[in-house]
Amino acid sequence: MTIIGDRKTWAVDNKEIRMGKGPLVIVRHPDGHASKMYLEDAVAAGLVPAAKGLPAGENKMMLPVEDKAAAHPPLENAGAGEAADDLTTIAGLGLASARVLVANGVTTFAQLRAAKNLSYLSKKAQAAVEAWRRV
Amino acid sequence: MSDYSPAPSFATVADIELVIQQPIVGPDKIQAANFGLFSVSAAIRNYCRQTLYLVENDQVILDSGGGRVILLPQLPVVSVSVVSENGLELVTSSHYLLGQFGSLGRIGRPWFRGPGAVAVTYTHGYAVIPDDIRSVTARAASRLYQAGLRAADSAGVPGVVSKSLGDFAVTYGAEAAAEGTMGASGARVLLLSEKDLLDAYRV
Repeated sequence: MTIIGDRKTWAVDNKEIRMGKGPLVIVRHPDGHASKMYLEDAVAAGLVPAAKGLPAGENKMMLPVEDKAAAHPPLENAGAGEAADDLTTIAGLGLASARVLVANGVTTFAQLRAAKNLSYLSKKAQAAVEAWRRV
Repeated sequence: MSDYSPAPSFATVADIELVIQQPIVGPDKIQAANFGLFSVSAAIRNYCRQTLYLVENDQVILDSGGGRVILLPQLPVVSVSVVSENGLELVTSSHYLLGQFGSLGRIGRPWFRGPGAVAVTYTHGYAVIPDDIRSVTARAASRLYQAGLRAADSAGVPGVVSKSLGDFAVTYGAEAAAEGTMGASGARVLLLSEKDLLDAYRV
């Protein structure tokens, strides 16, 4: 006969909780056999040193509002004229496009070359940047 | 026609005289030349979406989307005197920095989000109008002025090149077909080649 206790004492195991235990890792037990365990469980069981645990991923969306600013990259170029490049020297890139780039944090040629998402620019300006990158 | 906008023109009647190689004499003709300058200057401001001439201590209220940078609408920015965010005055170098292309970067945190969240008092524009703007203004205003003279000469009918009396024949100029320079009222104020020059100032 099974005695069902209070619901509050039931062990709850759902996806949300499992996701919080980190990734699945393969661990070797003292008796020699290997199995998959969640990282947190493996660390708790002493099968994996805590130092091997992966660092918690940065999740900017979960930060409180007041900490969001700290998650942004430091403002280095938006206001510092000496570090910024004149983006209008790129053929086909006008003043308006350069302003949009600056507003999106792209103020140097290096940043523009590395920028992956330029969808905020017009198609014409995107084409100009692509042409400039190929040169 | 005698009441013009207080906005200054980007060239002078003397510039038109240099372009057309003719003196402009008489109040009517000077007024016509000034009207051309006024029209072209307004068209350039409209095309560039900039006032271009120097405006001191202009106060603007800007909407903020909560980003790190806001853009001042008028270029070039000569100086920024007052910046207030949500009613609180900020200090330059500590709270904000003036960057390229009229960008105002907030230090340490994003700008306060909201419509009218940021008020800026700044000086912008050119104390001396750049040569290319002045040149475009003078040339375009000369066209308007000359088109007006031609229209006046042909009783208000634009583009008349020649007339003959026997069996009455009128020849119209073909210049209009290319860039619409014919006549006073039908003329395009700025040519495409002139717009190319002005693109450097357009935002």
